[in-house]
Amino acid sequence: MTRRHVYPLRSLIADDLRALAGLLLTAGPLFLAALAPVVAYVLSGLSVLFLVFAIKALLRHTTAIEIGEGGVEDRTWPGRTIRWEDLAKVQLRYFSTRRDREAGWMTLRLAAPGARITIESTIEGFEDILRSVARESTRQTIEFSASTRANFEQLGIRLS
Amino acid sequence: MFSYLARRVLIMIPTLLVISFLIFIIIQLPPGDYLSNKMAELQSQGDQAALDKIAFMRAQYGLDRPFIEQYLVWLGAWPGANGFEGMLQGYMGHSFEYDMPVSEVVGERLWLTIVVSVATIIFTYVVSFPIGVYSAVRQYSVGDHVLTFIGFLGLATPNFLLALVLLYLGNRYLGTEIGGLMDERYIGQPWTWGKFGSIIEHLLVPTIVIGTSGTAGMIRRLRANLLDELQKQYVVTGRAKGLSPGRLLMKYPLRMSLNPFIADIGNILPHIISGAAIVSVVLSLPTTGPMLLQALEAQDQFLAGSFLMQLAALTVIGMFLSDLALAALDPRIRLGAGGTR
Repeated sequence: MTRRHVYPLRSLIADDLRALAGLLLTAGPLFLAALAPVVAYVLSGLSVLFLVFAIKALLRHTTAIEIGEGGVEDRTWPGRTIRWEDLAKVQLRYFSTRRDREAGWMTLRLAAPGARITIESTIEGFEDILRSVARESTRQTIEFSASTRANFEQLGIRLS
Repeated sequence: MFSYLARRVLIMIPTLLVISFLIFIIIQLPPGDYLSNKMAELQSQGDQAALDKIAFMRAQYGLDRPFIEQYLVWLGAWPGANGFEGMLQGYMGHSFEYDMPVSEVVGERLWLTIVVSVATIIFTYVVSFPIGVYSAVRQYSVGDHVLTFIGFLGLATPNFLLALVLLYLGNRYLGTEIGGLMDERYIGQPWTWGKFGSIIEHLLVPTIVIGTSGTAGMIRRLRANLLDELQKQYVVTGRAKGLSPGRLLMKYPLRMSLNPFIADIGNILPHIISGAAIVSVVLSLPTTGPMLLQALEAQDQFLAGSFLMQLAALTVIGMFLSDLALAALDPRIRLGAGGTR
C-alpha cells in the first residue's frame, strides 16, 4: 500500500512569509538607496540566498512524498524515486535556531546512486516515514552515523 | 543546512536593526549632546562666529530633527541634508570632537584592533586546547594541579591588573616600556614590512594580557566537558575492547566535548574587544577601545555609536558563525527537546 505525505499549509505559509521577509530585508535596500559596495555585496548575496529559499518554499507547495513497497518517490517536479534496494545512505539531522536547541526541526536525507530526496519534519506523518525508512534500511544493512542513530532513538525508533 | 542558513540569517538581520535602534537610544540618553554642550561653553565666552558654525552643524547633521528621523538618517534609510548618507552607505557619521568623518578618525585603529583580537583568539584556542585535554586525561596529576592553579589565577586576575604588573616588571627588571603596539617611529606612517614586524613584536604582551582570563575559562570548560565524556560507558566499553588510548580519546569524547569550545566563538569576539578597552588604556595601545571611552565621555554620539555598532555586529556575526559550526558539528536532537515543529 502506498502512503502519500504532503506538507501542511500552516508550515508552508510560515516558510513563504520567511522568504518574503528575507527578500524584503535584503533585496529591498538594494533598490531603495545607494549603498556602500561592501553592504551591497553582502545584501546581494543574502538576496540570492532568500530567492533560492523562496523558490524551494514555493516548490514545497507541490511536494508529495509517496512511500510504498518498492521505495520512496518525491513527486515534486521533475520527480525522483529511490528504490529500497538502491538506498545507500540515510541521514537524520536536527536543526534549531535557538541557543537552547529547543523547538527545532529535522531533515531526513535519503541517497541512492543518482538520486537524493530530502524531507523536512514539518511534513505530515514524518514519523511514519522514519519508521518505514528504518525498517527498510535495516534490511539493506546501511551504516548510520552516530548523530543519525541518536536522533532516531530520540523519536523512539530503534535502528538495529 | 540551506534552510537552516536562511532561517538563521533571517533572525540576524532584525536583531542587528533592533540593536542599532537601542544603540541610538543609548547614545541619545544623556541630556543634551556634544554640540549643545559646546554651544553653552562658547556662549559664555561670547564667540559668535563659532556659535554660527555650531548652528550650521546642528542643521547639517540633523540634530534639530525628530528622534526617529535622526535614527533613520544615521542608518542611511532616510535622506539627510546630503541625501542618503548613513551606515548603509558606509558613512559612519561625523565626529564632533575631532571635526572629521568617523571613518577617518578610526583610521588604522580599527585594523589594529582586529589584529589584536585575532591574535588573542588564536592564543586562547592554541593554549587552552592542549592544556584542557591534558588536564582532563591526567586528572589529579601534578601537572593537572599546577595547570588548574594557573588557570584559577588567570580567571581571578583582572586584565588591567595583569597589564599593570607586566608594565611594572618590564620597567623594573628589563628596563623597557611594554606599552604601545609599535615603535614610535612607525606611528602615523604608511604600512611597511618594518612596521608590520614591529607590531608583531609588540603584540605578545597585549595578547597574553587580554587573552589570559578567556584562556583560563576555556581550559576549565574543556576539562570539565571532557571529564564528563570520559566517564561515560561507551568510553569504558571502548577501553575494554582494547582501543588504544589516543584513538579512543580522539574518536568520540574529544569531539563531544568540543561543542562548548565552538559555541564560545560567539561570546569571545565582543568580550575580547570590550575587555581590551581598559587594557588598551593601561598599555597605551592605539586600538579603538580608548577612543570609545573618550567618545562616550565627550558625548561624541556618532563616534560612540559607530563603535558600539561594530561591537554589536561582531557579536551577532560571532554567534552566527558559532551556530553554523555547531549545526555542522552536532546535528543531534537535544535530549528532551521536541523533534518536530
